[in-house]
Amino acid sequence: MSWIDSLLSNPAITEALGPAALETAQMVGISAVFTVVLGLPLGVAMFVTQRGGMAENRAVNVVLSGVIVNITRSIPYAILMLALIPVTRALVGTSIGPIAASVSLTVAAVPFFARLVEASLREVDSGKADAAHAMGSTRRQTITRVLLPEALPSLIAGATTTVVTLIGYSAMAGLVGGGGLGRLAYNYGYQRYQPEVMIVVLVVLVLLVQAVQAIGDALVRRTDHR
Amino acid sequence: MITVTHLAKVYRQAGRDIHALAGVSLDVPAGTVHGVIGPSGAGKSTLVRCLALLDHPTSGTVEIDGVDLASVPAAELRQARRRLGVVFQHANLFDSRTVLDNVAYPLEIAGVGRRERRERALELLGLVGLAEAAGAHPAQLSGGQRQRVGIARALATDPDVLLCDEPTSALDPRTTEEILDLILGLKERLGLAVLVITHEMSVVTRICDSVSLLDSGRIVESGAIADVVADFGSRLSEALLALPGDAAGGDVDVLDAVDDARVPALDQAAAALGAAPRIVSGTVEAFGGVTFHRLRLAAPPGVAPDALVRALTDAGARAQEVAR
Repeated sequence: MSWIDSLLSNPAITEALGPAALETAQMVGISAVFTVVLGLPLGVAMFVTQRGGMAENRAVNVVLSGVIVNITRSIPYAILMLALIPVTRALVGTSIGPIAASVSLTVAAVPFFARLVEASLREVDSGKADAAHAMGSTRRQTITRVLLPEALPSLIAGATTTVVTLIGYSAMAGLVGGGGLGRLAYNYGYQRYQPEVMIVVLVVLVLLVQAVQAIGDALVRRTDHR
Repeated sequence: MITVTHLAKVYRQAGRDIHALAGVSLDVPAGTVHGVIGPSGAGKSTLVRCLALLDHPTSGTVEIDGVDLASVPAAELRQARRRLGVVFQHANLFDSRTVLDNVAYPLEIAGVGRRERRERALELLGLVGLAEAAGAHPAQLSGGQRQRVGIARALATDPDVLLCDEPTSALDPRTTEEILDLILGLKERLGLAVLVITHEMSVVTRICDSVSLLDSGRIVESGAIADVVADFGSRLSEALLALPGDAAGGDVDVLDAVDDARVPALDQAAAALGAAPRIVSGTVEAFGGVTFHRLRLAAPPGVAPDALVRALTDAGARAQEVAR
């Protein structure tokens, strides 16, 4: 089993893998939190301003949905992360490192998650909103106490999908200075031609995605009372 | 009580005005049940949405205890809504909440404290016979149980008016009976004015004191149930006292209120004609404490249908030839 020995003595694995995994977790963690914090209200805003919505507003809906979300979503992430380098610098003072990478990751994931939030809210039976109104709820109460709780399992599933997407994007962000597992795979696996490092990184990424999905699914089951 | 005056709703669709409601007026005193019945497309859904102020009527008033819901500002409307409980066809419970928290929801948004709304919700669940289901989620209940929870929730703010939108249309016949009995019992106990919008004639027969027929956005017939049934030839009378089967071969319809102390008109007419007409089809039903029967008769051989009509009319019944 010499390849295992060589793997266990390879500094890319013994020394670099841990910190790289931590950087990836940092990137994904920070951007996931900001994505939910920003994407949830954006999704709710798109839902309520849509045609026939609780606060129908054609102009606001066109700006949010048609301009902000659609345009951001049509830019491939590889290009978006490069285009955002000046913004990142202005925002966090550097374009290198996991915190800097979180900026472009968040910008890419917010519209994605907002669309999922919008779709989740549309799935809630309109009769429930009717019932809430008929009982004298304000629009805010209808959203926060009825629609969002009713959509919760679907929102959690959407957040899980978003985090998985972020893990994939974070590997790309690693190449332009974000660090993390993507950079490790690229530097050692590709440039130094150590396929075993590439394979180990892939295995770690697969395990990470599996773990996120399993946690997400468990939370969906726990919150779904339908 | 609830008073609806000249309620109208005009939708603009594809450049044309659709008059979904064209001036509906209703009056339901406390302690009574009024049914609004009509074919699909008559405007029942629009009427419910306008009465519950889910859609704003184009004109007209919806007055509950003297407050016109259609004209008060939004903040006051939320207060005024508490006088009106709405029961939906599919209950529209919140799946994310327990049964108890569903019933407590109207109290929660009204700012009632946790302990107080819990007590009140349990009391209401007891009222609809579901106290033991308090901790369950709606998905664990049957359709009939969900509707009971819906009714308990509608009563949470102690309303004076209960608006029921097709409350039993999604339920099987036995559960329908249970829910209708529950609504009747609650009306008696709480002195509610109940407005039931339905397409099911059996709901009207079973619980309504008065009834209106809605067609093309208008009330075309209306009145106390016994009066409406006694109005021979009216659409509501025909529908409420529908003849079973195809009733082929009959040529005279007769309507009468059966009274134990009286010889039925049929016997008198048979005696007068010297021959008994044959009963092709018939139905007997009680409305507002009066038992009505409606029969379709075939004139005996040698007797013209108009002679049979005369003989029946002379005997005190309402009779007419069947339109061909």
